[in-house]
Amino acid sequence: MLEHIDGVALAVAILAPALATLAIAALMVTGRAREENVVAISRTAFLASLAGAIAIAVVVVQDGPREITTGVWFEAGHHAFHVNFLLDPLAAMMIVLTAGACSLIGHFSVTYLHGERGHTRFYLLLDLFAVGMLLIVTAGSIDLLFVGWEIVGITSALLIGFFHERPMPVRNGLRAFVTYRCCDVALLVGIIMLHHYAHETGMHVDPGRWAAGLPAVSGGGATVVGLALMLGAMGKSAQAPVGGWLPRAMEGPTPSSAIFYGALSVHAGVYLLIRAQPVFERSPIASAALIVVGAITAVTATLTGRVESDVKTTLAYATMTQVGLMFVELGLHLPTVASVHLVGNAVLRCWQLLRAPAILHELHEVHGALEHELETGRVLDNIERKLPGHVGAWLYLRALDRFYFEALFDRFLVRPFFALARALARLDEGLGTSDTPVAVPRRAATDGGKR
Amino acid sequence: MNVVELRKTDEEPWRASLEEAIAHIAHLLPTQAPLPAFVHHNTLHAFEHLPFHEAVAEAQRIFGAEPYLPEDRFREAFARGRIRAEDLDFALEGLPDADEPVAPGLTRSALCRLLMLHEVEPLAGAELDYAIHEGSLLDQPIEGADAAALDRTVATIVERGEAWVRGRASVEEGEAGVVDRLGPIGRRLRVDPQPLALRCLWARCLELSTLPASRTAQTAPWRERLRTDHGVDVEDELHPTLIRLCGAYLDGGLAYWPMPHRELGFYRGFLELASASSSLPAPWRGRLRTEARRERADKLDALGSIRRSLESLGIAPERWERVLTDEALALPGWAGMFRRLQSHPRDRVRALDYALEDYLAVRLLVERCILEDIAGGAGFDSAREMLDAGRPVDCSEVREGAATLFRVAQLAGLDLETLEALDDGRPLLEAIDALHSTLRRSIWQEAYERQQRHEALDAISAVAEVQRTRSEPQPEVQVAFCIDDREESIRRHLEELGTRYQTWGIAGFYGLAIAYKGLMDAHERGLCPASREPDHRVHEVPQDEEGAKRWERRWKLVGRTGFAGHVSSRTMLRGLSLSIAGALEAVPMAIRVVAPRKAHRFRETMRNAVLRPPPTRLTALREGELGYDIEEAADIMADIFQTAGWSEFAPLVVILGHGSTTSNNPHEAAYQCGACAGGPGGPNARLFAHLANLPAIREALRARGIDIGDETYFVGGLHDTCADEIRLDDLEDVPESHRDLLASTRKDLEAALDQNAHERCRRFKTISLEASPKAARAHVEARAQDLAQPRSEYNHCTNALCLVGRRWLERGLFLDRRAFLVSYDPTRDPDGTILANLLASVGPVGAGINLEYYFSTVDQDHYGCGTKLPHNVTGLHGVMNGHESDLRTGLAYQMIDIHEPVRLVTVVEATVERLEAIAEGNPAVGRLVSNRWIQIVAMDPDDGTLTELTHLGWRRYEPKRDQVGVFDRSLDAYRSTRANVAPCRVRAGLEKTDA
Repeated sequence: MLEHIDGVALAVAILAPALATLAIAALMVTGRAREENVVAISRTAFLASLAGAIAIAVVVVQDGPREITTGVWFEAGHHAFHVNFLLDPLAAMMIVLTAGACSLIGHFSVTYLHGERGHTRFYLLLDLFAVGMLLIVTAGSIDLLFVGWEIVGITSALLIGFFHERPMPVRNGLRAFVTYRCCDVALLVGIIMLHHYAHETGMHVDPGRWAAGLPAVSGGGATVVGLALMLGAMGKSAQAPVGGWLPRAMEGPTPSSAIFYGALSVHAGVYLLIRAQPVFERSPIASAALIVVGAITAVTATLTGRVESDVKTTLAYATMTQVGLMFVELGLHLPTVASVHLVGNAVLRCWQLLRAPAILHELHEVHGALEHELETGRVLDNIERKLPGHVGAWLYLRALDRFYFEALFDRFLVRPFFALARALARLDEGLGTSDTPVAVPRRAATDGGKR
Repeated sequence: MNVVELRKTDEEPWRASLEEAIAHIAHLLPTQAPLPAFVHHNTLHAFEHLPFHEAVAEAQRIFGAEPYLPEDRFREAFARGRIRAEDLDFALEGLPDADEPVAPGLTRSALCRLLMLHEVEPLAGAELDYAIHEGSLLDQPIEGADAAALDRTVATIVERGEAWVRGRASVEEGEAGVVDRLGPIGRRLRVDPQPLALRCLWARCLELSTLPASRTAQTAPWRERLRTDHGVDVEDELHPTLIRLCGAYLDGGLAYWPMPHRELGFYRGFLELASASSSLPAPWRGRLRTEARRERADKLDALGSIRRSLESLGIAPERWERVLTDEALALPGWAGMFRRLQSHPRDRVRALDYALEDYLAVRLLVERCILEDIAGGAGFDSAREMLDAGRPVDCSEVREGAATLFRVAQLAGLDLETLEALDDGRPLLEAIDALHSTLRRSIWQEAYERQQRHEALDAISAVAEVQRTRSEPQPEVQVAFCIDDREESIRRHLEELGTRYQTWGIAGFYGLAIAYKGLMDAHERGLCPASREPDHRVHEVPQDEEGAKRWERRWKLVGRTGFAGHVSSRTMLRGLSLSIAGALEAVPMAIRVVAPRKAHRFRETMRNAVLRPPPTRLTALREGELGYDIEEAADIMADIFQTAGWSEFAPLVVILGHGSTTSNNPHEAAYQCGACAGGPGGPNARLFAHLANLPAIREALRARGIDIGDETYFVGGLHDTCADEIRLDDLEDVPESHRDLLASTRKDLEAALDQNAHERCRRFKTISLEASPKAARAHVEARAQDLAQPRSEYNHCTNALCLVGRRWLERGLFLDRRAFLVSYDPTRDPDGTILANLLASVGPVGAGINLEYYFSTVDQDHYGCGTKLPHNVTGLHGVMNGHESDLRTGLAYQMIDIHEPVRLVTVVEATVERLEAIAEGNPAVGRLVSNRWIQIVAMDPDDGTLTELTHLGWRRYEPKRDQVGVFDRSLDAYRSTRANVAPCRVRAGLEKTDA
């Protein structure tokens, strides 16, 4: 029994939230979901998961990294898809972070979401998200990681659209989802290319490394795979130019923003790239691309964050800035620095987002002490104020418009795409039946709202 | 640059008409202050000149907001007895032409009752098709249908025979739909006659309502027309840009990089910025740059720009106000914040110009550019041409009338022959139309309020009758609380301890309208009702200025570090180091989330070890510009005592203000004292007590007829209504002679606080009803510190009543924390001037609180700010819903979820004549009373008879005193229920022996 403790701990860590998801879904379907039941199920699952995570960490620290093989999912020709798990120090750190953050947010939300209509749905998605995130950080192959990746993507989009009775959350959830899907195509291409070049996608313990990595690919292959994985990671980790969804993701309940966009989901891309270090180490081009993307993101995001005037958007850009720097670190082949940076940033932003509603209170105290300094501007002696007037205005306006990343996408990609779709639809209609499109009847808009 | 110079001529008539239009619009916008200065106010204050029901209907027309609860909530209340049949009868009495017949055997009043009790929602278009073809509209009688009438119809058609029915079908030959529907009749006839009877009724209803509906189509705002005609939404482009700009301009310190050029004002500063715009991301931005440069070159001011925008869009001057109203109300929160800062300079954090016309000018300028862009894309030469091309949409449908008639006929028992006898369905349809939902709900509202009002009056009268026969023993301790409804329970619990205690209800600023700056505050803030300007400045200063220097240095160091951490964590390179070290934050995060109370105590201990503030004093008496003169203070204090009828003083008098500690709550100010403009009232109480102890003041008071003996000592303090804590100030000054009495009082206060917490906890579903008072106390303390807690306390959520009268007559009255209690003695107010002043100050405060709760409850989207969960603090002045929404005003769902929206029942110990005289003399009170924004009840000071002002005028009310519950203690009254408890009598603490 004791020799299988790692496997048992891993099973508990992942299966507990998975079973909780199923249980809550069953309660929902049968109409018996009550707040107390849902909370009890989730709380138990998260605590079990956290216990499993801590056990894994202890085992890994004491007895070193290991791989856990559970079998082959399916085989096609000489490609086999293994359901393997990898437990190394990085995975141990991430699994504790993940289970810990989920437990904490789960606990926080018991009170925060009390009496809210979507309470059950929230916990369903939170449990499912935990499963996805735990799969990402324990996956022994990038194929399995992709499964978790998709779960995280869909739960993230659904929680952004949590308040679905208003149009903006739904729209912004959709935007995040579309961004994820587009970037997932790149990730999928990267995985296929990895299969193609390396004939396998497993990550294996390497005694010379702190964190195990993907199989090394050399030459042009490394560049192709590296760039594809980078594109894949850019979506989840909100890097320029596709990161515009991140501030828009602040539509859900505060704790979901904290765990997704402060702590875990937004760092999933960085985690992927840490695992992909062996690939990047062999491709200066892909590494340079990482540095460029990260640096552009960091600079534009920090400037945008400085001009934004609402607390959640400033925190979104602060996160984006630091994740950009993590990309740079990875481009410089400093995975250990990036790992520490990741964990620290995750904790810091999660905490800051949880406290976001208290900002008035917190700043009031500070302002009391700093009245004089603030009014004379001594504490705000920053670079922007030293720019000449017209340059300052020019840069300020661009920062306020978030450097047009989204607008440019809309103008040059999204709109032409929709125009094309409409043209095809018209063509389709012309070829098919000549029925006039079904008009949706409108409720009388002119009754003065008296009914 | 001076704006005045920019105006070409002030005589231009368009300028005056724009100014006038904007002045009108300004009244329609929310007047909520920035959140740190949140004060409850009547959401529809601008409509107070209208009677309540007319005002809410008018607001519904303008804002599209709900005026009352939804009708099914009223029906549900009726079903469970919360509204009694007699209440409904009484409320229906107000209906004009109630007895007029609208159809054979059906009076208007009966029709109204039918429509109220049964849901007859409008059915048209696809919904109607669905109800006919897929639903059972024509197959089964609707719920509540008169079975006898249907039987009569069946008898009629059976008598007339199948041929008639077939012929009946052929009459409708032209209307394919009807034939269709009558098609299967032949087959069905042999099985069940009901569907056929219904179909014949339906056919008749169709005939009766062939006349086109009389509704006129309005022209919708252009945004809606563009949505319908072109499938584009201007707001998609406009609002993100505009919201960011507004946020940046209005920011009070959240953004690290303030908006350049903002010292020029919003409009002119924006022109400077927009002149640097790029056309790369969207063509309209290029147009914006051109236009901005042109307006800058033309030296336009905001009004000039508005005119240019309106004219270029082809809006005729007579429609300007209408269009500008639509524009302002598209984002009422943001527009309202400009307006608020414009009209209330004291709310400004930055010394900038704020003007509604600036906001409108910028909005229209950007919108105009986007519209031109859209027009170009849609093949028009200009936006003007595109907007002219829009047509009003006609939405009326004949069948809608028939569907309504059909269901009403079933409910009202109108059989086929009766309908055939009608030669025109129009009067009946018009009568139904006239009894629209808003009208019906106004009747429901009256009925809903009546039941609750009478329950309260029964108990008030029952207690007063008992108390009238008793004489009041001398108390040893007097405690003054704010009139706040949250203090009702603690006063009761304290008095239940025995006649040793006597409590008073006085508006929590205690007459001292001060601008106060605490030791650790950055700025002064007004601690007096929002309707008043502070007239004295009082600061809290260290007793030993020199000795406090070290503390101050440490404090500033901590503040500077905190601020640096706040800013740095958001920047790039400083943020890098902080976020690498960020993992250390896991410890405080976990502890504060998991054990908020312990974490708080630990933090307080640490804080006190490092940063314990030095002993302080208030600048009570004049020191330069600060403090009061003896005579000024004595005038105010004498007035307070006289108003309350407070003439005999116990050895110990405790004066308590109140405030509320809540964590993670942007609406913190809303939980503080309403009489202190959303600030905690502790300083006022402390100041009052301090002044009252000064021999010079006592001397001056004696000259004014208030004799405070030497054996009396005053102590001030603060009641934290969230954590249920009482902190007393300046205890080191208490003389030796009073220490024992003070100690035993503090013990009793603690006991009362435990009970108070226990009573509050029954409303919180997260703690068991069986919890002990100690456990309840710990629970509320944790609530105050819990970052995850969106309902740290329920605030005024249950407010419904206001009593103005003698406390002794209310002693032993259980009001379930629902009442504002104002101490007033009519026997010392021969000419009513005291009452007039009292009502002028507490009337608007109480009504403001009550009505803000009312409106936020009946329409969370328009009047309230929705659920707190996605709230996002913006610019230190407001919250948005998530990312880039309108600024949300009003109260959050978590503040109102157990609120019953009723107008404040205000019971005043005065005669009707006196109340009428006061209402006439003071327009602010008069509007509230005679337009029935509050429900006023006169309680005769001599014999206690009750007269209430109803929708039918003043009516005498005979209370049912014998139906009032009697309990030993409050605990017995509220135990084991989370719902509202009917007012009742409590016996504890009335007899001297109880002490």
